[in-house]
Amino acid sequence: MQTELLGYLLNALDEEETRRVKQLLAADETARQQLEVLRYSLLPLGSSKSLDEPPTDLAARTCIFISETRRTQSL
Amino acid sequence: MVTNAAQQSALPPADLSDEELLDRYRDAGDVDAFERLVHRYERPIFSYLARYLRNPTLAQEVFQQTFLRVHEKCDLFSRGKRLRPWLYSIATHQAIDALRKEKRHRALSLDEEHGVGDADPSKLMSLLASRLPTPPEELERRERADWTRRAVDQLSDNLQVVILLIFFHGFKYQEAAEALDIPLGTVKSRVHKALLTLNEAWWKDHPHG
Repeated sequence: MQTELLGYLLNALDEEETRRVKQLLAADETARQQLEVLRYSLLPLGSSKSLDEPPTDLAARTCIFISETRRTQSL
Repeated sequence: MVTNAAQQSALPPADLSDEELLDRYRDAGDVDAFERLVHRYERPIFSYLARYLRNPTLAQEVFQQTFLRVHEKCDLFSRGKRLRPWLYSIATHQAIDALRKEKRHRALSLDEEHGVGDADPSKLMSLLASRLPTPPEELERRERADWTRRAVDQLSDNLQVVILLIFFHGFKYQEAAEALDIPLGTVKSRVHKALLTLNEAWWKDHPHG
């Protein structure tokens, strides 16, 4: 159950699993308590999920690189 | 050929799914569809690679190699499958290959971060900007984020990658299993182990919470 609750907190479950966990939480006080304890385990991850910024032209350079490769291959 | 952001309006509609874009490229040679995919994943894949490789410069090279492989292997992508795990799987394999080639795994040197021959003036501005006074809340948030980044970076590769995918990139357990080509149970146990490790480090560094 712990793994599913953790997955629920991480939003890593699929729809069916999420539905089952929600049902469990609605019916089971122990599960709700466990969920609150597990919530603390996410503390070290913080709340920031910011992604590293790529150089502004990375995608464009990649498209050119692949276009050139494609052209070379077709010769 | 699309070469800059201003020309992106020529790309196919943004609401096409990843899979539809790849289908267009594979089946009809629609280069614009492929380029839409490259632009769509520019930030997430670059960020994933930069964290995984711990080297933004190498991440750029691997980003290009990743999409070259997508171009070369798009015929092998199974219809009905989700593209995102497949894409991250390719990126991960390319990153592992790059680390092997470079033999620089876990060996970031001070020179790499502050190369003596690097005279880019914007770096000085960045350095100075980082020294400007910061409001206390912002400082706390930044310190917290820095701690998390360092702690995640210190995880073993196997543990780090599941945290990157699931926490930072919003993957489901199943998608992470597909991307890393490992059993679902292994993903779950690695998440558990990673959190255990992070919590041990957290409480060691923050004994009073």
